[in-house]
Amino acid sequence: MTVGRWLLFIVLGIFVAYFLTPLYVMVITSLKSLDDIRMGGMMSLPTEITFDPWIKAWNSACVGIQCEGLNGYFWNSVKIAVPAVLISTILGALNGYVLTKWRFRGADIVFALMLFGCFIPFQVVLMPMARMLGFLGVAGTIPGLVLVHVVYGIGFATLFFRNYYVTIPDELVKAATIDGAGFFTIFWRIMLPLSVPIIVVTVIWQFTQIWNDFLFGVSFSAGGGQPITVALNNIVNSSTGVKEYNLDMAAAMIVGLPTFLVYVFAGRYFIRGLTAGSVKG
Amino acid sequence: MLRWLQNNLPRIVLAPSLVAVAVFVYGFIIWTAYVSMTSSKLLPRYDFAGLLQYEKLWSMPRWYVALENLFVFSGLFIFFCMALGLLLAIMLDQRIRLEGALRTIYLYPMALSFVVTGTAWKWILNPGLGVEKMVRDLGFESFEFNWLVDPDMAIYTIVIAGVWQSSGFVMAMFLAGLRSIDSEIIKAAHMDGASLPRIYLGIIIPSMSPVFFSTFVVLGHLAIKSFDLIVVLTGGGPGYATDMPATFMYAMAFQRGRIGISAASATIMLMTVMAVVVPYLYSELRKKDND
Amino acid sequence: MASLEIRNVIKRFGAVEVLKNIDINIDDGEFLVLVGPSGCGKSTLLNAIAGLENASAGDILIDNKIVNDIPPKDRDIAMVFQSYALYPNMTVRNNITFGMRVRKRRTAEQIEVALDRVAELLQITPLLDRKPSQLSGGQRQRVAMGRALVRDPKIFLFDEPLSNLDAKLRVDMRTEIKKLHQRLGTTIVYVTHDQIEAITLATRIAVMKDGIVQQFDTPQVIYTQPANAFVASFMGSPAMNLIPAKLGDEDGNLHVEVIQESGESLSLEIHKPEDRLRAHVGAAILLGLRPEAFGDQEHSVGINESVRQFSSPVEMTEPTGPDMLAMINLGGVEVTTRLNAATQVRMGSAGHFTVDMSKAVFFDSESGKRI
Repeated sequence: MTVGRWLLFIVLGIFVAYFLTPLYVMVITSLKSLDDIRMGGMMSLPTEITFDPWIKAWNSACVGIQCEGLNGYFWNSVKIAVPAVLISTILGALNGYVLTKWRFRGADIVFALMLFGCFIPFQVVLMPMARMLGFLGVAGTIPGLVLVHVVYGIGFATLFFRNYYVTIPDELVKAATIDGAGFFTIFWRIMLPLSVPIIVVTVIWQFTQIWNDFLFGVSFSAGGGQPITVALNNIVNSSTGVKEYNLDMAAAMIVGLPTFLVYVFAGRYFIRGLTAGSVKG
Repeated sequence: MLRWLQNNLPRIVLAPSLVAVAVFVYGFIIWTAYVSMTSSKLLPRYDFAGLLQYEKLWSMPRWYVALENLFVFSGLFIFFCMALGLLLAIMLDQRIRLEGALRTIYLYPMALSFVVTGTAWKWILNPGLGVEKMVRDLGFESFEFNWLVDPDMAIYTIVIAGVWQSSGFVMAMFLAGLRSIDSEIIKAAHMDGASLPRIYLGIIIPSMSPVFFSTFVVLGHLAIKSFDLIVVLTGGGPGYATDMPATFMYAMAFQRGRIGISAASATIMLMTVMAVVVPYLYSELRKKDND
Repeated sequence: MASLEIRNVIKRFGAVEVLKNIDINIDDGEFLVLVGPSGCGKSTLLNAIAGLENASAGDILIDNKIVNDIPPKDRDIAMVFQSYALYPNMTVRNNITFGMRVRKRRTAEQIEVALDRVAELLQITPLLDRKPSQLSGGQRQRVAMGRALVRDPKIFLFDEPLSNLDAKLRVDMRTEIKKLHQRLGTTIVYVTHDQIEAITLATRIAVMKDGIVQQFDTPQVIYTQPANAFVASFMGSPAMNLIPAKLGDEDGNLHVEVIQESGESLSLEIHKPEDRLRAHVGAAILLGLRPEAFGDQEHSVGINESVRQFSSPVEMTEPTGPDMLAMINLGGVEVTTRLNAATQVRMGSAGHFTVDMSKAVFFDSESGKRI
């Protein structure tokens, strides 16, 4: 091996440390007792491994004034993410199908309008959205947040499916039309079976976005209906009591775990989707 | 009737999404822009007050701090993400055996919520027990690292955490860009006797300008929208030293009850994003038409 | 099985007129080929016949019934596509039977019988449980045809079905399609840009360009009597030579004058000129001669009164195997001649040629129309 090659591996190794160190620190801190944290260094291994911070984070950590742990908020996030991901993915698939295979005059403008919706800073819709949710009677509720995530997820979902369906030859739809299939038959029996890769991409993308959302959660939810990211922030930034770093780390890892696992197990599609979506725009 | 339904089925299917986007994106933008030109305070009022709220906004020191922070943060965030991303991408492009594993490690922070990232870095950077203590324990007793609570330096902690979270993603975009270059061009350059740095600087990087542009837009967009990281890491503090437009807008709308000013700041954010994104989308859509 | 009539069909996309007053009429059992360069409107016309696109004006009649407002699935047509358009997620069996299953007009047994018949006809029975991705190009082509055949439609539409195959397979499949047509006797409309395919397959050819039918006739007529200079140069390979010339009259004997490379004028007497030529005496025309109208003097067989002789330097020779192509310069353009493979004509020296003027056609050099 040449000197250059060695250098290359050393630099790559330094970056591995750079990216993994925070994860390492989180893991070991979450397994230490508070005394251990005060006595030992940030990087040192726990003198005695304890799972108490994890148990406390899940069962009895104080979020605001309630001390029931993260588990309720975890299920809130599941109840928000699952329907919102499903609905926005289905709508995105149908929109992409219409915009590529049943093009009509103005289809490009419709697409451009939807695409632009992906890029607005959401601050510009926060206040009217709060009023709209109140008007619809779903302010501060989980269905309200599902609605918000569906509405602002449509743009990206449509973008993914449209860019994917553009690559499926139009002749396939023509052939099916001549075979006697109609709009929904073609969608259901021809397009959807071909869409598995892009469905995976869209579901991963939408799930990560919605699970990780903080802005909508903090703006449109209240009390026990909050998503887990908001609850985490309340734990971490509570100004009362002793700072329990081990608890913070355990709680942060519980929040990060679902998307982290999705990334590890379906990461290849995730990368492909991210780059396809943003490079091709 | 049935016939009409059948002929218009595609449009009918598209309609709910279109209506949703029309109301929840464009309708809401109009609402916010309109309210920014009224005298609204705690509750929206629908009178017309011209640029009153904008005058108030631009007379608030806190808004200037937010803008300055945005400027500093975006500049450093974009620069470091791009530099690290490009460096990592070029290194990974050297036929590394462990490329898949390395890529996964560099990219995983992207899967995490900014709230999680913020929590982790808040602990690492905290002056009492984090990096500062670690270095002191190594024997540097007088070492000081209290950026997190120093009003002048706190903004840089956000840059540190932001770059850690996003540079892997930039690497992935650059790597895709590097891989999409026709390998015959590179072979031809080798035949012409060009050295490796020469090939990267003279041929590959210049031909990646669309990827640079895309990356710049995505990062700029992330920077302007950044909210979660600030809230978790510094809470906008100390004081309002790390406020940015996104947190400013939120504070005005939901904590201070100053809807008019909040709407004005949101409108300015929208226009800033549009200045970056619209030319990008336009060029992308045009490019597709020409294909 | 059905006749097909296309009456004054116009198709516009926005302001662009891609089909301009198309008028075509074929009988039951005919093999119509639409041929032309890309962008000539042939595929649009095929889509209009299929009902995949609506004509902006005019009528399309299948079996003397106007089908303008009938959707594709009810027109009783079947189509084979350039990319085959096989459903990638389905097996060959399901690809072929998809149409029948969607329509739900036949029982499972009937579908099975139809499938077996077609699979046997096309020799794809062993492939029935494979996916399209596991098939070769030629096999996919057969499956695509099977999908069309299985429904016994009134008209088959083929959209450049052979253009994705390699050269050898293309020739084989061409023969097979022709056999199939002869066996089944179904009406076929076939789009291609390959003029050889057009001539070999068709009973009738419509040559199209710029949305206009340039000529609609049998392959023989189109080859020997092209309606204009475009048809002449598009149909046949190598193309018909179009030589700038002048029509002269010497004591009532019409001849064409062609300037040779040396600058000398070559006069070729026209064999049995038709009277309408006389109106063009003294005018500039294009003399149309196919490469095979030429010969070399030593191999000319059966020299008769229509054959003229001349000499010309040979610029280039290209042996093709059965023949020798020799390029000469006449009238300022490169002229391809097709000679006997054993010819003594050599590049760079003068060759002695014959030309059969009974095969000559003449075009107005302004309009390109045949005189």
